[in-house]
Amino acid sequence: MNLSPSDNMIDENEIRTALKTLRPNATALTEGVRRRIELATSLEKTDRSFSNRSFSSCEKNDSQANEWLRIAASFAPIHLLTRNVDSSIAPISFVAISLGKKLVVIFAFPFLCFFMIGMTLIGMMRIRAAQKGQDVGRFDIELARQATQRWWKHYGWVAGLVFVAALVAPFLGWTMPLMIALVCSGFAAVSFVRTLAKENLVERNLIGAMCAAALGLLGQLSQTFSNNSNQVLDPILVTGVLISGAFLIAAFVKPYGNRRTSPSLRNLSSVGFIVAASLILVVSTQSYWRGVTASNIRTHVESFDGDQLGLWEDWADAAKWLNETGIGFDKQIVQRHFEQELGKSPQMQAWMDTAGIRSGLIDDSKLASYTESKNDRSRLADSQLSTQPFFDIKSDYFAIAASAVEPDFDAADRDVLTKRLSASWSRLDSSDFDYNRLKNALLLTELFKRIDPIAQLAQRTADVHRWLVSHQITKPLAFRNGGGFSVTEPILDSDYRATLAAVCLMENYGVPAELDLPKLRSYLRPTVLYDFTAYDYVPKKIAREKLYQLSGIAPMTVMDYLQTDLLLWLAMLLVLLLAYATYNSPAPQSTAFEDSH
Amino acid sequence: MKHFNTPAEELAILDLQESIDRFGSPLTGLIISWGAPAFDASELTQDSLADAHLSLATCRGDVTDASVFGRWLRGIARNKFRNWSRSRAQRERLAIVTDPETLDQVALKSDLEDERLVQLRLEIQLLPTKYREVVMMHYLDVTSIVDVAALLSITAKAVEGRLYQARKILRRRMGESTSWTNVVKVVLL
Repeated sequence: MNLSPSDNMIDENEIRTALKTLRPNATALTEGVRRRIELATSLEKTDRSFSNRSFSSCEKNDSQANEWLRIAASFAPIHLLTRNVDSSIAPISFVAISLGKKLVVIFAFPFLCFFMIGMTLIGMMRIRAAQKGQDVGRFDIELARQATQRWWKHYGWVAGLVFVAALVAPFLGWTMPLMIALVCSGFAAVSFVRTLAKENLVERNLIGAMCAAALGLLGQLSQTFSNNSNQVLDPILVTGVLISGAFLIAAFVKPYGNRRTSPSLRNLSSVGFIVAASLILVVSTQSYWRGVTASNIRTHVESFDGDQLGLWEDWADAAKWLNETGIGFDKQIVQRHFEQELGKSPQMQAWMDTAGIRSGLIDDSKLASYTESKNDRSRLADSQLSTQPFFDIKSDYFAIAASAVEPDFDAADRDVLTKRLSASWSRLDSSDFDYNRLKNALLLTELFKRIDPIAQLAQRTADVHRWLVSHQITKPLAFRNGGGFSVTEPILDSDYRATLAAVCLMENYGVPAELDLPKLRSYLRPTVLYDFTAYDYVPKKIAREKLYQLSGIAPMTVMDYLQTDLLLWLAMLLVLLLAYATYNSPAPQSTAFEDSH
Repeated sequence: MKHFNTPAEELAILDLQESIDRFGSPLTGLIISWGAPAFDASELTQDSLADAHLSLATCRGDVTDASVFGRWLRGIARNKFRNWSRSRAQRERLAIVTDPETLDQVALKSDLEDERLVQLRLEIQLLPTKYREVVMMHYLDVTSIVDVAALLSITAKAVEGRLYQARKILRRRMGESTSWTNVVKVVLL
């Protein structure tokens, strides 16, 4: 830059000097770029799909038809229509599609929303039209009963089919019938009001009682789906909305206030219904105002008691996360518990030491003062054993890590240990060693990094991605929430600890494209009805936080929530429609009791 | 040996060093001006350059044209920065995170004794965005006006104009401190 020097401008050299310290190192920059390109290229070779997530070089692996299906699945829940969930129709990542297809998603989803909202508005208008001119003075309960019977004769079989499907579906792992039940209930409400209107029988109490009962029933029904649904928000919200909607409608119409009840008592019952509705809403939303926080995790870590709360190896994951996020924990308190536990269970020494080192309780300076490391090293890094895998990586973890910080730990030792770790890694592929495969792969990864800071992890990416995909539970299961990872392949049940290990592996090796990410997010959602014990909610919370911070995964947007929690929005619209149908119906005429006063 | 599928991919590898040399530093400066600390900005630059070269085939237009490549590279960097910002916002919910400027200041203060330079850096951070961008891009390293213009999709004249205005503002804000330099200049010359 050769601007003419001028007294009213600051000197260029001065600016350069001021910014000198922010200047990037040219060599490091070049190396960094080249390393990333090499990594992506090697990943492309070993795992062609990875590049979709790491660097947005879109591979055209999927057939065009499948891609369109996946795009459709990203705004409409078509992946729920089939029981045999197949990753080829799982919702596609928004970043991985071309501009034209992005536009389809952008325009299609609002269309779907408008369709839902539009149908609700049309329903309201039809109800309004049917209710016009209704004369409640002529209301006859017997005629109403007959009209209701006729309606059930005509449409009861549809309602029956939907409700049977909704009851059976959770046993098969389906969630779609609940959505259909919600939509059908909307249509049924409109149809019912129109049927009554033809007989001039529309009355608020009658309509309200039916609507409140229907919402109550749907609310209970929704609970049976809570484990199966793919929602990201707590599924109890759907139940909360439906049940509190039922109470609110009950408050409008006072269905239990018969004609001899005094107005003050009826008002009191209305207040009671409103209070009940509010309480239900408060309880159903408590995941979000009283959920598990980092402070809870810290309390759990600091007050951990192996006798009562589980394994120290699970505790280590929580403590490690606190260290990684900078929240930390009081090491003195934990040290005391740790030593007490060791005193009680000396046979657990090796495993507890592993937990101690992984959690940061035993740092490198303490590790260096470990006096047995020479003996351990000669035992573990014996060149004659270089092809032998470690017997139990959890037990040997501490000794291997301690060997690596020994001052005389040399290249030969590193070579033997690396070979033995590689042999242990290869053994994980065998079906005989698939129990805790993900956890063991994580421990091995940590050890690779400990003994060789420039460990080339890329070559193991294909293995990790294969294991992650094979351990993820994507099959719909009765009354169980899929999407998590299993401890062992043959077991079709997700486990929070295995899922946490899987997410930690993804931090190191990236996210495989075949992974069903929406289901994983759904598995890790907060659930107020089930998050009772720290044994479950701690690994779940940590896995959730780590997942949402993985590089290459875009954070959830409002659009994502609209897509994944369609059930909740449908429930809200249904409550709105039924409340409108009730509120807009003519109120019953004053009672005999009121007339006499 | 990698087998190239398209001429664009081949070009990407052939010109990799050139694009790092030309756009590495100004892009880091640009990302710092958006609000990332220097270390993160360097990482984001590396990600962006690698991503750009890996997906060069998807770039519309003549990638050998610096203005096309620069605009495209800036778009990639912008997306990376947005993702980084969102992740940062999530981290902030879990732990207290110091703002990037403070981090950089703390990191730099130890080896910088000159209060004036610290003050100047602060003033640069306080410049309006369009001026801060060009200052960070042009002066962070030795970067030509043409490359800054290519990255920002503006003309070289516009870059010069912004630099001129930025330097004027900086001079005005650093007024009291510079007067001592002027005195020395006057005495010596």
